[in-house]
Amino acid sequence: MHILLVEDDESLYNLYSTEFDLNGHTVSWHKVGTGVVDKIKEENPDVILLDIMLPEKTGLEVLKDIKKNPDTSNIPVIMLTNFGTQDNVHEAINNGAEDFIMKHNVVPEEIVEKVTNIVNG
Amino acid sequence: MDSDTRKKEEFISLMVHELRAPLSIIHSSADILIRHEKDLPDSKKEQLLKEVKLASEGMLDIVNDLLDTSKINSGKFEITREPNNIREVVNGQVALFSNFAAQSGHTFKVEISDKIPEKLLFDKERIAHVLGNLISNAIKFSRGGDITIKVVPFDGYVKISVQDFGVGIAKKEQKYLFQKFKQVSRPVDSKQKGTGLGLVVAKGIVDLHGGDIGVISKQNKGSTFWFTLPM
Repeated sequence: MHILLVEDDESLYNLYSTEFDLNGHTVSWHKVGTGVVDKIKEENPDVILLDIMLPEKTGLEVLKDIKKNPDTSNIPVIMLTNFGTQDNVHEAINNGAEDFIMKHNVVPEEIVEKVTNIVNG
Repeated sequence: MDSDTRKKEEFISLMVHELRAPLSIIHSSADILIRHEKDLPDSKKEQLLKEVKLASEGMLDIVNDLLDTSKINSGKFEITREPNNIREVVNGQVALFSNFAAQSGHTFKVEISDKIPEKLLFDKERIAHVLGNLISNAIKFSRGGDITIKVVPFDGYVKISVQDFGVGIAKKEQKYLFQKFKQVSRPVDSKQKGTGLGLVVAKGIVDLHGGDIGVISKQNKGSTFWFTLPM
């Protein structure tokens, strides 16, 4: 499985990519909210992990861009959220996100498990 | 709920969030290190240990600021005023933050007036903490560009200022910056990090020196944080 992680926190990238890598998956990293659709076309990921709070463009805006583009709309998007962003989560789900992960509530192992379950249906 | 109680609730919520994020990094790193001890290459182990160190340092800073705030509020915070050279403090802090600044595309400009006396009476460690806090904020809240640090004489005082060209601060929020429990002006889900306690501690330290602290700021233009020390 190939994952595109859109997240500006390098520590989280290091943790997630290590865990996914150890489970036989690959992770590409994009740090800002702009240019995500182009990155998806380039990488062709199986799933996108998208932070809700990003520099330059919010995760919700990025989600809408992904879902309105026929080349990217079918790729499952899982939102990464912080404590205090529950309102945005509902909006994300209404706009086509598959699910959400409260990133500071889970260890990377649980994220791998959840992403694998979603991608494998 | 009255306004003060609401502010305290918001403050506690922010503290929880600020502590929880690095704690989660420490927990996750330890979890990976324990479960994959045999599969992980040494370079990855080292990287995860660095994450633990960085996150724990961040937590330590928050806890120290909380302790200092508590001491300032109860009048138990102490300083030792001795003859010290402010130039050494400025140059020391610039050197300390040079890597962090370079990584985020910032360049320091330092201007120290020749009219500043060789020695001033101040607590070197505490004043370095104040200046370090202002420099760190300038780096965090501006995207690249110059950060100018000036030391000039000012009406019987020495004025030390740190100017950035960052996001700036709305006028109505500026008065709360140095007040305990009131510095929260952003939601906990904001991308901007930090507790704001650093400025409360900075004010406490500058007050004990008999100086003043303040900010001149315009939204989207930048901020100049300054403080004074008696000459």
